[in-house]
Amino acid sequence: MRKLLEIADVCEWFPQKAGKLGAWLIVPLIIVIMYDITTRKLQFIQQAVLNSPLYEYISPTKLQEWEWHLHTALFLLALGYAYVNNAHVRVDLIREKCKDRTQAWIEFFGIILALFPYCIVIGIISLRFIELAYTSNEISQSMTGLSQRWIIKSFLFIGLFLALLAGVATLLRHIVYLFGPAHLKDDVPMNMLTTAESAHLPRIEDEDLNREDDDPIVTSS
Amino acid sequence: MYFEDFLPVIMFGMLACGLFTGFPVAFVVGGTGIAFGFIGMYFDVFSMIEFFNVPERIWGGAAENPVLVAVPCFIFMGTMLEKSGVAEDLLKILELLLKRVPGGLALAVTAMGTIMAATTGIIGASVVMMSLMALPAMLRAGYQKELATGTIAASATLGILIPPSIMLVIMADLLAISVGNLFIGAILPGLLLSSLYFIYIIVISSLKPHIAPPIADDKMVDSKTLMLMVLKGFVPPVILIVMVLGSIFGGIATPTEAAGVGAFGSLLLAVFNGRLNISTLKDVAERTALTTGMIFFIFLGATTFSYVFRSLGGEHLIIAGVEYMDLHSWSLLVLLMFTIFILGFFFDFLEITLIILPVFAPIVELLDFGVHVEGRDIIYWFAILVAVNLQTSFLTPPFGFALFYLKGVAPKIVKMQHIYKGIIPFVMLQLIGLGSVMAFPGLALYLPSVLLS
Repeated sequence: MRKLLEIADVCEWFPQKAGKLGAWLIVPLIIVIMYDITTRKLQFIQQAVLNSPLYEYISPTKLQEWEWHLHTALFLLALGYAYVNNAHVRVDLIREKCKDRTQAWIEFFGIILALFPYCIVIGIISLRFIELAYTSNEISQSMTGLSQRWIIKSFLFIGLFLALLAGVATLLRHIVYLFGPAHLKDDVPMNMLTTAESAHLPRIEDEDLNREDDDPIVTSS
Repeated sequence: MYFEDFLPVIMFGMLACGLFTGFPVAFVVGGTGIAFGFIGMYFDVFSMIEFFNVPERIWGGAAENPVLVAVPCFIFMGTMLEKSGVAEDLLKILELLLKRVPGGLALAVTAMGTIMAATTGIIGASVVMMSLMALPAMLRAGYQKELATGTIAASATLGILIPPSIMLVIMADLLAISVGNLFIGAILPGLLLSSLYFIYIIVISSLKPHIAPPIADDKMVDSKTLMLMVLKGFVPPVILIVMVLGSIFGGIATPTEAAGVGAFGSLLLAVFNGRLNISTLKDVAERTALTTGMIFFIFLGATTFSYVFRSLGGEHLIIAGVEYMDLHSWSLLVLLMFTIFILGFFFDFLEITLIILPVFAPIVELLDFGVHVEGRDIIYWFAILVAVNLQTSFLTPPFGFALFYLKGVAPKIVKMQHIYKGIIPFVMLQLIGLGSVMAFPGLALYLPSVLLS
């Protein structure tokens, strides 16, 4: 059983790492947009860029395609990352009234019945989708756009695979929690339970209201 | 009629059941889509080959779509303004500026909600942020708990309506209308609501001064310091928001470009405040990725769901059902609004816009209001109505879930009854706002027609 938890940690490492690295893509995304705007909207800069040899490599069409390329890579890499960090929205109306064990059962069946089928079916189909882009040597529809469309399309598969790994990690932990020996249960990181969620939520304490300073004091566990 | 003709209905029922288990919405929606694809295959009304269109749809809808690039940028901007302390400084300055007005602190919160509408875009997060910033200060100043919590909940949810709102970006994309136009259209209704809040707060605080005591004199600062604070903490964020919206409204920039500029501007403001370092940037980038990943997984799931739903004949079923009921356009509109209102008790705007709106869109096309609203304007008007309606729904007791988020962070002395009682006047104001936009479509349609002609 302890072995399962170790495997879960390995499985979680990939979406966690990919999401954190992918998160940085927002920086180049902002830079590309800013660069694109300044070179297109400011006439004198536009002239300078138009006449430079660089123009061929960074035409506005290419830049605008880079924008959605970066955006797409960013969100696809974050699919599994959001799950292991329990950032996906839930309808908690009924769940929060359930016992921890019931919640764990819900998660267990949810992963098997919804998350796995989705990631596996769409993941496998996306391979065909990528293959088609590769074999037909798909490029941008505009003449000056980016080529090698299969590269960015591969992220669809990668993203779904990472989400699958995130699901495997969570499933293994829930298996240990539900079926494992009692002494192991406390070691299982169960960040998806509503009790764990509310422990993370910052809360204003009554005592904070008696303070005289102006800063709102927030306690967070 | 055969059994398989009713598959879409069962599919919807299953979706509802699945969602209420509390398993993440994105997976439930996607999983239901896959499951009913296979069920459809069993009944020979769906084929495996149709699944191959799903990645194509996802690609066209979510990936190769320049409009949605605005989403992570706006989220980044909102998160950065919050984490770098710009939002908090702004609130403090608004407090000082409005100190002489009755209910000044509450007005500051409303003004803050109006200006900083571009928070993370998720209702829960906005309410939590606003409560943490404003609730301790209000209670310490001796504000009545009802007024304090009502003001916070209502102001924090204004963000879904007032541009740059992420909900409007997604809505415009799904309804295939212009984001810029929808943003412009939302301005007047948004300002109408915040003015209604303003009037209510001023009136009630003047009538009952004890529920909103003025700021103590020792907390006052001299006018020179105040001027300096305004220049440093008030002017820059306001310029940023005005620039972002102005460039869209002036037709200078697309919403995506404006969002990029907004994100860049929020970085500049953080630098200006001396609060930008690598760990803040990392934190903000990761939070942005979490929210973006969450939103787009729902996008993926909803695309799959609605593809299968349509393929099983769901759209025909809905239209047939609506035509069978033979309702007048007004009754139909009221029915749609009522449905959305009820759904808003349980679901965040993401589920409603991504799952429900595509289902409702064909019905909206059936609406005909003659001269009240012209044909091509109906969809914009409808979108704004949905936005105001959803905000109202999020605030309405006993389910309105903005209230639960508020309760979650509030100190123990604030009871749920306080929150329920405090929000009622604001819900009334919301209903007045909703009614006004319905009765006077010009509120939503006048500005776009003037600015864009």
